[in-house]
Amino acid sequence: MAKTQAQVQAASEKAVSRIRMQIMWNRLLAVVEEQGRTLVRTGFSTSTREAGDISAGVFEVHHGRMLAQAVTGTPGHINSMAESVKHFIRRFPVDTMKPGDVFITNDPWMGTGHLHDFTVVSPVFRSNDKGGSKVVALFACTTHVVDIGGIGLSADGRQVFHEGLQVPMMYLASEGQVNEWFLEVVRENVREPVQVVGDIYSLVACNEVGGRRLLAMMEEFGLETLDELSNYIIKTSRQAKLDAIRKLPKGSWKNAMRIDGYDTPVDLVCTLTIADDGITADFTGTSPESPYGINVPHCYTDAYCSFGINCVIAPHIPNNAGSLSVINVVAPEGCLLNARRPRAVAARGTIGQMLPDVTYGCLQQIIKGGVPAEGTSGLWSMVLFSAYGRTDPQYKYPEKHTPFDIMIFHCGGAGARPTLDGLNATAFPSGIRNVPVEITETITPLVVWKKELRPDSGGPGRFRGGTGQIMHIANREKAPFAISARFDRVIFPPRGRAGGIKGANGWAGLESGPAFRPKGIQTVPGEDMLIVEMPGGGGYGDPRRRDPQAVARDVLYGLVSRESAAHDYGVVVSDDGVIDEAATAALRTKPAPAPKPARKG
Amino acid sequence: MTAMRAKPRAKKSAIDLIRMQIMWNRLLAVVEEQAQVLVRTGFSTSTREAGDISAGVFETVEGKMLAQAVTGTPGHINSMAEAVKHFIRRFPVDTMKPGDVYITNDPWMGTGHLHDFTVVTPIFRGGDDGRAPRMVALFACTSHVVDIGGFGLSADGRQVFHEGFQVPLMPVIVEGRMQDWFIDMVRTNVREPVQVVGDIYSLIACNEIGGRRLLHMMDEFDLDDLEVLGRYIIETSRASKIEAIRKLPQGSWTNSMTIDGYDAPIELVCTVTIDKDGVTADFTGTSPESPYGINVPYCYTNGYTSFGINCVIAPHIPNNAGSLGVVKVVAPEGTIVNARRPRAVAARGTIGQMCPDVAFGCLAQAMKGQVQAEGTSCLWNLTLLSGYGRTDPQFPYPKHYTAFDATGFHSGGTGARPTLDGLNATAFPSGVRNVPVEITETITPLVFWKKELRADSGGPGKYRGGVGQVMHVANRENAPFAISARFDRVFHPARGREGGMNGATGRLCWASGKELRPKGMQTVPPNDMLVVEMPGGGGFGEARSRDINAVARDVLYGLVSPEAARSQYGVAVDADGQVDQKATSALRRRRTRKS
Repeated sequence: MAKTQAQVQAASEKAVSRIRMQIMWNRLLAVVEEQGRTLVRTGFSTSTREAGDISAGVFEVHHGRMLAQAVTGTPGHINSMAESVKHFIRRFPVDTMKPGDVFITNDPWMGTGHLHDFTVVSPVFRSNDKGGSKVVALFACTTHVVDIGGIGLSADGRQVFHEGLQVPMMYLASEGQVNEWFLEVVRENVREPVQVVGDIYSLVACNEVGGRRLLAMMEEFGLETLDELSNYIIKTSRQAKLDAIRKLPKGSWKNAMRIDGYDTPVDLVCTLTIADDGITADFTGTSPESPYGINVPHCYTDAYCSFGINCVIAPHIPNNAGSLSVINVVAPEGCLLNARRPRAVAARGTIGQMLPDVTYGCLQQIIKGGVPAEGTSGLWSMVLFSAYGRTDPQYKYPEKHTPFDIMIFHCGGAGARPTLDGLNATAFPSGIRNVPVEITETITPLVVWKKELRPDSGGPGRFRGGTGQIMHIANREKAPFAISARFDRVIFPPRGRAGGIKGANGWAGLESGPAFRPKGIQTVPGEDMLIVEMPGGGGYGDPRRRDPQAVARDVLYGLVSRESAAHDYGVVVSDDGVIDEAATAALRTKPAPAPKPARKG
Repeated sequence: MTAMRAKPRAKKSAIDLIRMQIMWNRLLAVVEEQAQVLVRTGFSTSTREAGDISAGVFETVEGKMLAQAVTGTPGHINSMAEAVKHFIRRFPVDTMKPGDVYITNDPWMGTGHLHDFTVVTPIFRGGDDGRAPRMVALFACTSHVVDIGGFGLSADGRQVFHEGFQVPLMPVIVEGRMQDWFIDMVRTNVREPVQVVGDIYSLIACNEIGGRRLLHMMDEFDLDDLEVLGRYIIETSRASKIEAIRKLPQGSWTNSMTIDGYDAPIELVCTVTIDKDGVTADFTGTSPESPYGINVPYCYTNGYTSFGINCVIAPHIPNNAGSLGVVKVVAPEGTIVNARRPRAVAARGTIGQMCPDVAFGCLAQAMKGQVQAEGTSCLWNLTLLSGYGRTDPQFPYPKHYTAFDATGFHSGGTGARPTLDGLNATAFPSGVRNVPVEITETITPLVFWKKELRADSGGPGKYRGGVGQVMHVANRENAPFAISARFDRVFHPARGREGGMNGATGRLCWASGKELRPKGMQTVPPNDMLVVEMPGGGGFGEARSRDINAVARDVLYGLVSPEAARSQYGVAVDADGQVDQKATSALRRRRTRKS
C-alpha cells in the first residue's frame, strides 16, 4: 500500500527528529567529557591529574537520573555518583536550589564508598524570557583526594570514625558565596591542605565548565529544558540494554570466589538471574562485614557489579540511568558488600573491584564464546608516606628527612580473554591510569629502582593471563617510610578459565626478606627496600594449545621463562625465541604435568 | 583605656578600694554563675557530673583573664586564660559584632586535646542611645566532650589526625546566626552527637548568662567599661603574688621524676628559680615527645605548673592574668611538655597532671617541711566503651547488646601533707569530681561489683599518703568492652617526702588474671571482669613517728592492714584497732635502734 504524502512526511520528520536527538546526545557526551577533562587538567593531586580517579556527569532535575558520563573516569565513582545525586536532591530539593549553589559530601554511603572521595553537585540555571531562571540540569563530579586525615587510606580502621573527616551532604557554596569556614575546617583536618582544597576547587570548576557548555548547547539547539532529550536517552539506552539481555538464556547461575580479606579469607558469592526485564545479581551467601576497613557500601558494590555485567552483555551502550536500570544488584545488609555505618570502608576498592570477576564466573556459564578469566582486579596502588607518627616508632628518622604522602596507582595483570591474552599491568575493572614513576621521584625522595613486567606471572593458557609487574622502591634519604597495603590475590590467585591455569599470586615485602601482610600499614626501614610483585591474570584455555610462536615471543620478550614454556606450554624454545619443533612436538604429545605451586610469601 | 592611661593614677581612697573589692567579688559571682549554668545544662557526664570545665571573663584589649569560676579544672582554666589571646589575634576585637560566638578545639590554641571545646563570646553594652554598642568583655568557657570521633580518648594515637575532628578557631554563631552546617559536621563526626552538640549549646548558653549578669552588674555599679576594675584586679593580684614570692628564699632548685610513659619511662625534669620578680619553672632536660598520644601542648604544661606553684606559694590569691603573670613556665620545644603539631595529645592529662609534683620537688628544697609528697596526680578515669569496631575483633558480640561510651572520673590517693594525711581517692591537681557509679550503671549495662578504698596503698609516713581505690567492673550483658587506659604510677610509684615511704603502684588486669598495659585501648572479654587498683599517695615524714592512735584508726577502718601497721609503722594492733602498747614500744625501739 502506497504511503500518503503525510505519512512519508511524518516518517521523515520522525527520522530527522531521531537524528537530531542522536546529535544532541553525542553533544551531551562531549559536554561531560569536557567537564571530566577540566577536572583532570585542573586537579592538584596525583590521583586526579595523573590517574584520572574521577568521574563527571550530567543529571536530569526531576529524579536525579544520570544522562551522560565522561568516559574519563572510574566505575566505582561513576555508577555510585549516579545514585548519589538522588540523595542530594532528596536532602536539598531542586526547587530550593538557587543559582550559585554548590553541594558537597564525602559520605561513603551517599557518595562513592569511602571518605577519600568528594562528590560535588551543581545545579545549572537557564534564564527564561520572563526574567526568571530555572534549574535545567545538575552536574556532578567526584575525585579521590590525597588525604582526608584520620589514619589515612588504610585498611586498618575499625570504624569510619578512624578514617578521617566526614563531610555530610551540605552547601559548599550558597548563591555564589563559598563557605570559607568549611574550607578552613577541611584544611585543619587533612595533612595535605593545598592539594585537597585545590581538588575541591577543581571539582567546582569542572561542574561550572560543564554547565556553561550545556547552556551553549541548549542555546544552539533552542532547548528550553532537557526533558525530551533525557527521556529519549534513558528510554533508548534501557531498550537497547533490554534487547541485548533478551538474547541471553533465562535462568539463574551461581559462582563463588575466595579472596584474601584482611585477617581471614572472604567468600564472594553471586547468583545471577537473567529475566526478560533485566538482570539481578544477588550476593546472598557472601562473607559478613569485616572488623577492618575493607567493607564495601552498597553503592560501590552496585557500581562495580553493574559495570562488570555491562562490559560483557552490551559494552557499546552508553552508561546512564537507562542502561543502569536493567541491572539490579542485591546484597543483604550486614554482608561485606552492603556494610553498614559506622563500619570502616577506606579500602573498599580492594574488595569491590573483585565483583566483575565474581559475576563473570556466572556469565561464563551463559555467554557463548566465554568471558575473561579472573584477573588481579583489585588495584595494586601504593600509598606511601613518611613523617612523624606514620611509621613504626622503632625506626628512627635521620635529622634531615622529607615528609611525604603519595598515592601511586599500579596494577597487576588482567585475566586472559577468550580470544586474546590478558592485558599486562593494566587496571581492569577500575580503568585507572598508572602514575609514572618520574612523578613519584619528583615529588618525594623515593627512588623506583625497578619497574618491570613480572615473568611467569600471567596464568598459562591458550591465551595467557596478563603479567603483573615488579617494583623496587627505596627512600634515598635513608629515612623509614610506610606502605599502606591494600592488596589482594596474595593468598588466593586469579583463577584461569576453560582449562587455563591460575595467575601468579602477588607478594609484598622487604628486600631483606620478611613478607608484609597484604593489608595494613607497615614500615620499610630506612636502609631497606620495598619489593612489590604484582599478581598475573588467569589463563584462558589449555596452555598446550597455545600457538608455539606466541610462546616463543613471550620467551623472547621475557614474559615467560624457558622452563615455564616447556613445563606449562609444552614448548621448547631458546632464550632468543627459536623453537625446537621436534622437542616441542614430543612434549605436547605427553599429558600435561600438574601446574607448579604458587610462590609462598 | 586611653582616658585612664592619660592622667596620672590618683591614689585610691579607702571607699574606692572597698568598692573595687565589692565589684571584684561580684565579678567572681558572675563567673561562678556562668560555670554553674554550664554544669547544670551540660549533656555529658564530664560536664554535669565531673565538672571538667572552666569559665571566666576577660578584658578586651589583650584578652587577659580577670576572673575565673572556682568550679573548674586547672588544665582548662589556665589554658583558657591563654586561649582568648589567640582568639583576639585571629579575630581582632574591632571586627567582632554583637551575636558573634567563636569556637575551637585546637589542642595548641585551646586546652591541650581535641576533646575540649573552648567557646568565646564578646559582650556588648549600650546601643540604646543610637550609638554603636561597645564591647566591654569577653566570656570564655571550656568543657570536655564525651567524644570527638577518631580513636576516641585514647593514648594510642600517633598523630593528632588520628584523634578526631579538628575545629580551627572559627565563628560558631555569626551575628546571632547559628552556623548550622558546622553543627551538622560535628554531628557527623562524633559518635555521640546529641551529647556533644548539647554540650556546645551549653557552652554558648553559659557565656550568654555570664554576659547578661555582667551587664546587670555594670548597670548597678554604673560602669561604662571594665578598664579600671580590670586593672585593679590584675595589679592587686600581681602585687600580692609578688609579695608572697619575696618572702621565699631565692635561688634555683632542680628535681626530676620518672613516670611510666606509654612504652618507655619518661623523665620529667624541672628547675624552679625564685627571684624577686617571680618564679620560673624550666623543664629543660625533660624527655622528648612520645610517639604516642601522651604529648602535652605547652598551654597545658603551663596551666598545671602555674597551678601547682600557686597552690604552694599563695593559694589564697584569686587566679587571674595578674597572679598567673608572675609564674613563668619554660619548656623547650620538642620535649614531651611542649609537643609540636601534629603530635598526638589525647592523653596529655596523664603527663600534664604530674607537673605540680615535679615542681613540688623543687619547692620542697626551698621550703623544707612545707611541701606535700607526690600523689597519684593523674586521673584514673575509666573510659569504657563497647560497640562494633571498638573492641578486639577476637571477642564477638552477642546478638543483642548495648553499645556505650562512658567516662567515669576516678582518682587514686594524693600525697601526704606536711601536717595532714593525704586525701583518699581524691583528684589533685585536677580537682574534678568523681562520677558516681550509679550514673555509669544507669547509662550503660556496666555493673560496679566493687568500689572501695584500697588497703595499704597510702605511702606510710608520719602523715600517711592518701589511699587509692579498688574497682571491679563487668558488663552484665556478657558482651566485651574496652578500656582506654591512660594511667600512670603503675611502674613508678608516688614517692614519699622527708622520710615518708612511696605509695603503692596502680594496677589493672582482668579478674581472670591477665595484666593490662597502663596505656592504650584494651578489651575485657565477655564473662570476665575489669579490676583496677588505683595508686596511693606518698607518705610524709618517718612512719614510725606516726601517732599510734592514728595507725590504730587506719587499721580499724581497713586503710592499713595489721601486718603493715606492724612492719611499716612499728605498731602492734589487731583488726579491731586494739593496740598492744608493750609490743608497740618494743617494735618502735627495735626499729629505732636498727636505723
